[in-house]
Amino acid sequence: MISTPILELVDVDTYYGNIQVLYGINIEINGGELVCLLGGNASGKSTTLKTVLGVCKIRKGALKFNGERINGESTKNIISRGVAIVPENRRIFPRMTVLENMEMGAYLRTDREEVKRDIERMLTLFPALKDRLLSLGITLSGGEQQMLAMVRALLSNPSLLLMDEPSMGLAPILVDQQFELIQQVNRRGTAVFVVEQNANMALSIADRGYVLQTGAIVLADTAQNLLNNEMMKRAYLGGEG
Amino acid sequence: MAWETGGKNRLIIYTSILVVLAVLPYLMPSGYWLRIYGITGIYVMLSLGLNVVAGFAGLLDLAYVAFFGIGGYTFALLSSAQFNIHLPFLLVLPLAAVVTMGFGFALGATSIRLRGDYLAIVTLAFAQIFKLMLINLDQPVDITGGVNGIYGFDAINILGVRIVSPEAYAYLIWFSALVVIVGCLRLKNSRYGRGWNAIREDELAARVLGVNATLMKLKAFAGGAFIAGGTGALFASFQDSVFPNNFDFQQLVIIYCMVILGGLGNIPGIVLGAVLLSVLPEFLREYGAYRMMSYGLILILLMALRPQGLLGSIGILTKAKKRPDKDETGVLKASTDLYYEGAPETTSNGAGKKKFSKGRRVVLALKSVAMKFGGVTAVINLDFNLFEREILSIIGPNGAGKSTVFNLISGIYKPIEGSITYNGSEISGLKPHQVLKAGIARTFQNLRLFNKMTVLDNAKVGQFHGTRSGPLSILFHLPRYKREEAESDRHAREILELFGKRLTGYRLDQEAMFLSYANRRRLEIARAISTNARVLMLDEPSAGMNPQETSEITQFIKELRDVYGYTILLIEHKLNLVRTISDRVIVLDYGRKIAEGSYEAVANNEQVIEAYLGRKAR
Repeated sequence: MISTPILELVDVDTYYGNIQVLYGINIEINGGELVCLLGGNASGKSTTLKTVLGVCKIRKGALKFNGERINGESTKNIISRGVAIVPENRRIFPRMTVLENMEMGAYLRTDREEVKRDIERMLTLFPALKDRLLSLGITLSGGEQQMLAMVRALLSNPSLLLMDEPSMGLAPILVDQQFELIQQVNRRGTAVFVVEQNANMALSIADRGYVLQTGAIVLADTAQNLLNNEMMKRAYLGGEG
Repeated sequence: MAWETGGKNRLIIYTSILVVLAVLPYLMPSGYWLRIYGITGIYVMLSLGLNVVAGFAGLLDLAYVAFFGIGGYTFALLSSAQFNIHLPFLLVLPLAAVVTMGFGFALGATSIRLRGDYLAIVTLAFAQIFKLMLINLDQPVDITGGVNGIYGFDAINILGVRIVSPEAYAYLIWFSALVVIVGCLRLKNSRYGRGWNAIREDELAARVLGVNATLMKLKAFAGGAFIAGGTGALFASFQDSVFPNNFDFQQLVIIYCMVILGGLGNIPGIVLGAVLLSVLPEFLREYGAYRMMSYGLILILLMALRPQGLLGSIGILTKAKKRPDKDETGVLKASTDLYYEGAPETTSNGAGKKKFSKGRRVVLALKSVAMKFGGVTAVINLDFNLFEREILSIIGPNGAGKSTVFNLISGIYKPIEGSITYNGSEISGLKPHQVLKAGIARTFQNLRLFNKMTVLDNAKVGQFHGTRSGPLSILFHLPRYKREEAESDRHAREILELFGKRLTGYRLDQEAMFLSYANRRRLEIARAISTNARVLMLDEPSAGMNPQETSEITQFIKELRDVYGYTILLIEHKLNLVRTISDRVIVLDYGRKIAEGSYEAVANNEQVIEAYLGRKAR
């Protein structure tokens, strides 16, 4: 089946003020795919995400969503096209209840009844959250926070889910759980774009991967090939398991 | 030393400033402009005084204009026929400043714990009450002269020189302004300046690094009041009268405009801002009330064009710096490229020489410690000992209470039950800066560097609690101050050198916010070490680091103990790191200790696998 990719970055340059951060980035994500973006600190990973979300404006090149050019569109518009993000460190609203946090995820939706049904559906997928619906976000354990952040993102009915460093600062058991959650979401048909430092973990679940170095893509391949790539082993995979 | 090589240039600059100030009064086209010239000097002093409170320490002090008034009225009451007190000016000037400082202390002591908007509201109320008192204290006993104010003061007589002519006033005022400028510059570069800067950037981090934030804020309040009081006395004499309207809210807004226009904390900028806002509106005088609108307009324009203030980060004023991490075209080199060039840099000359290992003496002991937030129990019945020169790791799921334990030990929270002893004495209930002084330093999980301070200054803040120079030593550059500054500087550089070339060279003068993520983590550790503490609590030192950086920091932490003899308490999720360096490991879950022992013992504990490790990770 040949279809237009859900997200496409074509020769994208992005700047912070006068400082160029991204240099001719080419990335493409097809519907239902799980793609990861790897790279060290300050390589431009977060900037790439911000570019996709329209937080950083593109200076040159094209950003396409379902084949349609969306350069310069506002973040709100891009989100309403079907992009959702699970931010670094999860960022759930600590003083809102679990239910309110979920409702924030559906903020841009107008089909209230459908939202209610979606929340029900999510609770069957993540039963641990069911008993905590009225608890404040701050009281959730790390694992529960993670699920909530994921549910919140999914409630906007995205066709593309962005994840910024999902394993950062997590206990090992939660890292496992996090990547299982990602796989689970992906299997339901949502395309996922994961930005990660933990290259081993990300590649173990991804279909394809891109490697970013000082703002340029230096490697792009299937996850399997990247895991066996010598340069990858040396620079990113290391001994950490 | 830098100031010695720059000595000649400095002399030239000072001489030319003096020449300009000597000539300027005679270049004024009219008596009217000479008056503006004098008023400008007053405003320069006023805005620099406000800068001590609002710029250095970041306190939104709206009572400032009242301090100006207290100085003015103190002079008025002590040098006029009002009560027939006629003290000499050389006595009244310092008296006005000191009395005002007393008021500053008093107001500060009652309100300093309030933050941001709340402090603003309380101080604003003080300013309003002050003005109401000025207006109404003319009966039953006439003290302030009510709306008519007080006028007709004794002529200033300084050691036989009478200051009467406008030219003489111009000299007196601008000489005083020069003193204030030099004083402020000296304060800014001293331990006081760094302490205030740190509080403004991140108060919590400043506290755990040993800065007594409450006291320092109080001193900023008093310092600002001191300058305002002295300036008030000069102003009163210059105007030869004081009225309540001289010290109203509008005046305060003008002074704030000057400080904001110049850029908070930027002394040359503020002098320029004060001069501009004193002189420019004069050209608009014929437009009457519209003149005042110019203040608003100028501010709006400036905030749009230069939010960092007039002189903030202008190219010519900041020296161009070499950036070895950039190539000729200015493109940043990859951190990985840097890393693979040559041998690892971090390991210092002491590498490999293992001198220390875990001792037997208990340094830090927690006994049945408990902590609750609202109804949520964060830590319950926690006991553990930390031995001398031990590396003890705390692991556990997110939200298990690990960071809370650090906050309890470092005095950010006070436990609701139990005791924490350090070298035998109780430290629970101490303030963070007292805990630091006792010898326990920490880093934060989510980096809390002083982002706008240089790398070197970040490290120097750690020295704050160990130095003693007071305002007098700083303002007069007494030998003690020079000795302490040189010592702080040397010590901070020495600590930064522990990280190889990562934090030294051109990076010493770089603002912390421009460091790479891994280097910011390193700087947090360096800053903790520079406090001379013997116990280091490191909260996820390797978070966000790639595998190479992680193994490098692992080696470094090990070296801190093996070579330098530090005792280390560690929170970490990366098991490789924990396994490599820990003498013992404690596992927390839901605020309870569920396991304790060697890494191997803990890693094979069923409960730990269930709660934390999971099946794959081991």
